[in-house]
Amino acid sequence: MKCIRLLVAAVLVSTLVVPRVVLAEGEVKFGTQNWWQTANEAKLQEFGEFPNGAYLENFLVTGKVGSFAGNLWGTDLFLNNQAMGLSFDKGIRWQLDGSYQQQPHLFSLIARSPFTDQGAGAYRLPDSLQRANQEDPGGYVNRMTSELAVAPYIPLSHRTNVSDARLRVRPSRGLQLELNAEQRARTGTKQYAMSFGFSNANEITEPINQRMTDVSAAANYGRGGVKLRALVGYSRFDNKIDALVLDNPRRYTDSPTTGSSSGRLDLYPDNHAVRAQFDLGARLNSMFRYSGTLGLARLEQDDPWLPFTINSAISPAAVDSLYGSVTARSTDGRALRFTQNHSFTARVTDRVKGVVRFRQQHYDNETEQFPFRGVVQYDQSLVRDTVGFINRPFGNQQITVGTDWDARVADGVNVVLGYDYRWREHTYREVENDVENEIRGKVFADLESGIHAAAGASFASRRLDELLLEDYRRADAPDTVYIENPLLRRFDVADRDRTDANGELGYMVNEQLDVTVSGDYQRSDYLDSRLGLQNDERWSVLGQLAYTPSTVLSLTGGYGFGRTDTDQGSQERTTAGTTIPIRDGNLEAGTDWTALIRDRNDFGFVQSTWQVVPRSFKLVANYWVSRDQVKYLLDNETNTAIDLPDTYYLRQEGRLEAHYKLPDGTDLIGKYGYDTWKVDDFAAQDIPLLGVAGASPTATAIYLGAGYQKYTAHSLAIGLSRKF
Amino acid sequence: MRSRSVVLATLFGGALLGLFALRSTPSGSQTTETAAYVGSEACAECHEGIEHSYRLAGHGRAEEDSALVDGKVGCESCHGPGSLHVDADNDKDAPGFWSIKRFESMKPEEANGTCITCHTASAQLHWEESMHSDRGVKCVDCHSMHEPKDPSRKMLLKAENTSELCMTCHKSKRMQLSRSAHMPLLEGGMDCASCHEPHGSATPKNLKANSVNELCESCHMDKRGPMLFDHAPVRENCTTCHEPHGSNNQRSLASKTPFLCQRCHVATRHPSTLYDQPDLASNRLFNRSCLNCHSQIHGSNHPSGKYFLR
Repeated sequence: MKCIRLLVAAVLVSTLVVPRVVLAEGEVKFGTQNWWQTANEAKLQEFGEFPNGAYLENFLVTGKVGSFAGNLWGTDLFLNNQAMGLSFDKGIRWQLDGSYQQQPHLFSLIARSPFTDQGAGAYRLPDSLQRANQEDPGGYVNRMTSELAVAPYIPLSHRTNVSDARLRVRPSRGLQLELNAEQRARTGTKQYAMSFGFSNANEITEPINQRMTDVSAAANYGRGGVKLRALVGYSRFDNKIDALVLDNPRRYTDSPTTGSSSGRLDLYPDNHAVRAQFDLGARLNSMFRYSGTLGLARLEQDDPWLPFTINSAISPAAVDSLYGSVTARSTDGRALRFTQNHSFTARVTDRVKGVVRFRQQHYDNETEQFPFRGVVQYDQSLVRDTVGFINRPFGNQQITVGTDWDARVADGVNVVLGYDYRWREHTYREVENDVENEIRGKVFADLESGIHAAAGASFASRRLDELLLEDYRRADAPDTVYIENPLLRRFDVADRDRTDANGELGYMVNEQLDVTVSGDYQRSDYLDSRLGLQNDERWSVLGQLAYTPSTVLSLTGGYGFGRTDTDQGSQERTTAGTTIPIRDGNLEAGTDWTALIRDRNDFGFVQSTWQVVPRSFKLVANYWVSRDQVKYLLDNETNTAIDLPDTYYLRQEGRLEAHYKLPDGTDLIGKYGYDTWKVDDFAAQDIPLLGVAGASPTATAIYLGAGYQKYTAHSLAIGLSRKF
Repeated sequence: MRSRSVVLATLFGGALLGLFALRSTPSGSQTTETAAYVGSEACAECHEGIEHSYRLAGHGRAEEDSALVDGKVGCESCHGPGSLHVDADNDKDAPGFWSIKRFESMKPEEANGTCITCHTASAQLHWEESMHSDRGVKCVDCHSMHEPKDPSRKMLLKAENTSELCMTCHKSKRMQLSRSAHMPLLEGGMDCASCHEPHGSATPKNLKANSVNELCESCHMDKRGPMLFDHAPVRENCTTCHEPHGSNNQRSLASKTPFLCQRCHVATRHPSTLYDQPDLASNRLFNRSCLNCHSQIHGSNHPSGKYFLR
């Protein structure tokens, strides 16, 4: 950080000292700000630090010496969302760019945890606490309540530092070579969880220390009617923390049946990918044009497996027996990703243009299947299964053939008609193939009377070829016993009819007033889904106007309303069981339930600029509001279901700025900002550190207490903007 | 915020000027036949500020390597020969004054044709097949050669970032991105062009990668796998569960958990009386809901991880 400050200072000073030597210009904006917030809620600064004190909003220095030129720029310097970049070039033959950006993600400022971070992904509790809980389980709630009451606050945020560099070389007319490199270094924490069995969930932080590196080289050529691009790249993900190890609050010693003193969870494995891409665009003749791409990527992941369990009380021989015939100790995961696109465009006449497209997207998962003989899924007890624990290397493929025809039926009026045929394949899913046909049409009109209009609609029908019920059944179970309900259709592969419609109407009433209204609608019906998502309907309308009554005043405002309704069905069971018996294909209908979720979203904004004194003093005011209310309407056949409480979100942001321009071109800026966030969400608010006693046996779950809080924030800033 | 006003005012003003110009000025092609090239120095005599910035920006630097652009360098490489314009001596009533190319008033094919003379390959390779090209979007609708607003001046944008530009037309996206859970577009951590290629791509929705998952995994490589135990929708399409343009559910999920999960999973092995005796403190209903236990929902590489618990 100190180096960056020195570098920036040096460059800024040098531009002031030697402006006569080099051709240089630039700008800088800085100031000081104070802000106040009524609750210690992270949302205000979720993706960026709100300055509290001096700030450097942005700067730019551009200079040229002879044939060499460069620029240095930065934004929000000294904050944790800063970005800066440097570019250097010699004409357009050689260009070197580099940039550095920090992307923070702040989750909570009130998270607390009794677990002590030991580093390398290990989180510990005091031995005495584990021992006491094991020996006196009846006192668990009181003991943990006392312990959690003094649990320290913990950081719950991560930051990604993105560094990239690009070298571009143009050795000859039409040819451009590129070398690109990017690294993302992500460090910090976010919410995670590890369970030691039913009713023993433990929320904890995921320790994040990851590196993502991507390098690529590309050659571009464009001359005449031919355009080419060839690219090869390599990317790598390195996780410096392999596993999360967490003490079990209930146990001090390992037991082969009632749990272990700690649990171990695998964190994201290292992986890498090699890719190649080839793009071609060619004008075949005055009428036809071709465009195509070929993409190929090889994905590999071979991180060693952790043992089945960290529980030392389960005999090593028993654990080893779970491997069965499997000799591998790592996944050696491999997948091939292949994509091709081809399109032929024909300009039949000046008024008619058509395109025919073909697209194939194939994710071929070549990972081996491993017939494990069981699991120790909570580090609690070993569960044997002769055939049931086989991994499924899911793959998928989609082929699309489509066409679109665009005809200018009158001056400024175009009609577009299109059709797509989509065939999909899902490896190891309950639906292996489905087919979707889509027809669509759209009309565009740009009339000289100042009217712009567009309206479109589409209808798509997707049908699966066969539902393979055996995929809902355990391999070792009888034909009548399923682990998933046969009436369930997973919506991503279920039969579906989808209707889309959208429109926009813009009218420039006169030189002062421009009005636009737009809307869209989509409805998806999952025709054969008794359980699962049954339908999804969403629409929104948005109106916007721009009003410029005079040369010194401009106003832009808009209001939108959106609505999303989903209906879904599921099943509730009152007794524990690992399998579901089928009764006449209509399974325990009395326990089926439905959820109708009704989501209403409002949005409004106003932006205005008033040039109070032309060319010297102006006021800028901006405001936006977003409000969302959701109802969760639950029903069952016995009418005993109770609706869940509504959730409500409201976010408002207002800014008022005054700009005064001094005669030398310097701008003095005063700013006032207002933010408010109101939230009412049963699932995300008032989260206790220990699950409270209730009807369900969840009183022992431990949470971070990172619930949302309502807040209001005010900020006041003065600043200066200067070009030099 | 200020930039939004500037952009809208600029677009509005540009549209008005364009309309006025279309109706009242002779086209450039009528006069260029007699115009001749005069060199950028002649332009600088009146447009000193513009010429200064031009020399520092990428287009001006082309003069250093004129062979790479077939000798077409200087103001007139884009604006056409300027002798008649110069001869008009700032008299806007003189026919020659309007003889140079003014991009706001040109038809899209003509205006964009000037740009793609040089910007042929790389990011612009699929421009001619793009929806933006089809619908008459002009390069200068988004880019400003002489008064760029982006902090680095590298992309010569008419606004401080790409998202502000995109949302002038794609208005509903601003509404979606203002929801509680969203990616950091409004905050500047990323922008629309982080995922979409505005100049066109072969992938639907102008995605910058060959598929949705390939795009997401370019930043979220941790989820890339393949894992030992994969979750099928994770491998097929991230947007099965996530709304990339924002939602009011944590992690931009398409629905609140557990309802999202129950779109595909019934209550097998979870024998609760959850919905007819709602207990909001249940770890199956609040906080991360199903993910309170199934935290490895993007896949597990643990031999005991079939149910994404380890």
